[in-house]
Amino acid sequence: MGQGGKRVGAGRPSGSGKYGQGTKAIRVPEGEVETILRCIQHKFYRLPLYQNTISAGFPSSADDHVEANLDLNELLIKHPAATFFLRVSGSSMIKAGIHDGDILIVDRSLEAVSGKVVIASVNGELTVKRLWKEGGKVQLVAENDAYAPIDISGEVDFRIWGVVTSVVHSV
Amino acid sequence: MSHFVLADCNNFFVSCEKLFNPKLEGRPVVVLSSNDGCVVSRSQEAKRIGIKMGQPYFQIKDLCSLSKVAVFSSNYRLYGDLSERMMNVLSSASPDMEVYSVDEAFLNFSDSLESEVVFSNCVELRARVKKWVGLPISLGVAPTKTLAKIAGDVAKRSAVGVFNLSLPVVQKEVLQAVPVHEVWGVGSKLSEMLRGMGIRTAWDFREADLIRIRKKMGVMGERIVLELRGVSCLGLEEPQPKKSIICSRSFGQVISKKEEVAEALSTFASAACETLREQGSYTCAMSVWLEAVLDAKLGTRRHYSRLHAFAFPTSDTPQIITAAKSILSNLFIPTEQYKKCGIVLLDLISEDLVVPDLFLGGVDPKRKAAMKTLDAVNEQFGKKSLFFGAMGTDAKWKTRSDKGSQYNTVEWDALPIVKA
Repeated sequence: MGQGGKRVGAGRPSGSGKYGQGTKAIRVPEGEVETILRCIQHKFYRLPLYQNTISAGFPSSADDHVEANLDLNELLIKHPAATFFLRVSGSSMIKAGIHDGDILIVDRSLEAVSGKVVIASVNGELTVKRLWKEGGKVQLVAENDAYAPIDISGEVDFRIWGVVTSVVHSV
Repeated sequence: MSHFVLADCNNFFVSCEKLFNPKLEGRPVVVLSSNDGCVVSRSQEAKRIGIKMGQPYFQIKDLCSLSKVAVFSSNYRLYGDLSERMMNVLSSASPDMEVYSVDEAFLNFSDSLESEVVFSNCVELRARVKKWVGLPISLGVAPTKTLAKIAGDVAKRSAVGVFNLSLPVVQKEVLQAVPVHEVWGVGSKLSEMLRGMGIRTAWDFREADLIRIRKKMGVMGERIVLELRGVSCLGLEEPQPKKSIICSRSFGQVISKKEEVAEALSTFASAACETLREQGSYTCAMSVWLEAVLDAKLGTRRHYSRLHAFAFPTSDTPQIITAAKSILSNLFIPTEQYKKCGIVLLDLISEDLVVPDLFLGGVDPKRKAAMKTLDAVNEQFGKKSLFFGAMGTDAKWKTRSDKGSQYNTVEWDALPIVKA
C-alpha cells in the first residue's frame, strides 16, 4: 500500500458543516467581507435576475444593467435583529397615521429622541405615543384630541421599549 | 492564548415572556414544559420562593395561586426567534462563535487583545443585547472554555453581569469556592470518583496530579484539569449532524383508540424524517415506544417498545410511517390507556455512505425527488402545507397548553398587541 498522499474518506464529510453543503475558499475584497458574512448569516441568497435573452438584433441598452428586485426589508428594516412588528389596538395615534389594526415596525436599536413616535412601557403596559422631552419634563403625547398627554413623573413606572420607524396600513 | 467568552441568557424562557409583558417585572414567573408538565424556566423571584427546576406543575399548583406566580405554557416559536436574534447580535462582536444551546454561545477573541479589553467589549455587548433584543445576558471571560463556563456562573451573580476569570489570583479564589461537580464535563459518576480521591472543589481538581488523573479517568479527565489550569484543550465546535433523532410528546389526554395513536405516531415520524433529510442523513433503524397509564394516582406508567431495522437505509417518510404503523400493530393492546408515544431514528449515516445493495438497489430517485418536493413546498408555504393522510387532521392527542402567551414574533396573525 502506498504511503502518504490523499486518503479517501478522510476528514469531515463534505456538507456536514454548519452550512449543510460543501464549502469553498474564495478571495474577496477586504471591504466586502462584512457584507458577505452578513448575507450568509441572514440567508439573503438573492440572485440577480437577468431579463434579456440574447438576440441578434439591436442590443438593448438595458443589457448592462442587472435587473434588481426591490426588497421591502431593505427599505424598512435597518437592524433585523432589533426590529419587531407589533399590532396596534386603539385610536389614540390617529393623527400620526396610526390606525387600529395597523402593524408597527419598531427598531429597538435606535435612540428615543424627543419628537419620535415610541413604544413605551407605562405601569407594565406597552403603549405607542409621541415622546416629548423638554428640560427635565418628559411627556407621552397622543395624536388624538380625545386623549390627554401622560406626564412621566417619579411615580410612573416608565421605560422606552423601542422607536417606531414605519406603519403598515391597508387602504 | 486566545480568550473564550461564554454568553448565557438569564432565565431565558421567562426573560422572553417578560419582553412583551412588562407587568411580569418583579413577579415570580415560571414557564412549563410542553403539556404543562413541569417547570423549565423560573424568574429570580420564583427561585426565591423555592420553586425547583424540573418540578412537576401539580406539586406547585397551590403555591402558584397563593404567591400569585405567573405561569406560562412554553411558546417555542417566540423563544426560537429571540434566540436567533440574540445569536445574531453576539456574532457581531466576534465571528468565531459556537452556538452551544438555545440560550448559550461561546465566543472566541484574538490573543492580541488584553483580557481587560475583552472584558470591556463584553460589557458593551451585554448592553447591546439588552437594548436590541431585550434579553438580559451574562458573560464570562477566561482563557479556556471550561473556565469561561465558571466565569459565566460568577457573572450571573455579579451586578455588572460580566466576569473576568483570566488572572491567576482571581482563578484561585473562585475555583476554591466551586464544588467539583459543578465543573463543566464532570458528571455525577466522575464527581463521586473524585470525592473518593479527596477532591472536593474545582481548585483541588486543578491541583491534582495529572498522571494520576489520567490513569484513573483517562484523557477526558486530564483535559478538564488542563482546561482548569488555563491550557485550552477544547476549541469552538462546528455543529455536527445528529447521531439519532427523537420525536415524542405526551398526549393532552389519554387515548385508547389505535387510529389515534397511529396518527400521533405518523406525525412524529414525519417530523423526524424532516429533520433527517434536512441534515442529509439516512436512517438504518428505528424504535417506536408507547407509554400507558398503569396507575393514574401514583403516576406510574407501563412502557412498550420495539426496534425495526430497515433492509436498506432510508429517509422516505411513507416508508418510515408504514414501518411505524406495523410496529404499532404489534405493540398495541386495546385495553390500555395511552399517554405518550414516540419514535427514534437510530444509526444515522450521511448520504455519501449509503452503498447501493446488489439485490435491493440503491436509493430510489423517484421517491427521493418526491421527498425533496415535499420539503420544498413546506419550506416555501409553511409547515404542514403538504402532509400525509396518516397524520390525521383533528389531532386528539395534541398537547394541552392552555397557559400560553398567545402571540409570537414570527406569524402575522399572532403579533403582540400594543395599545394606542
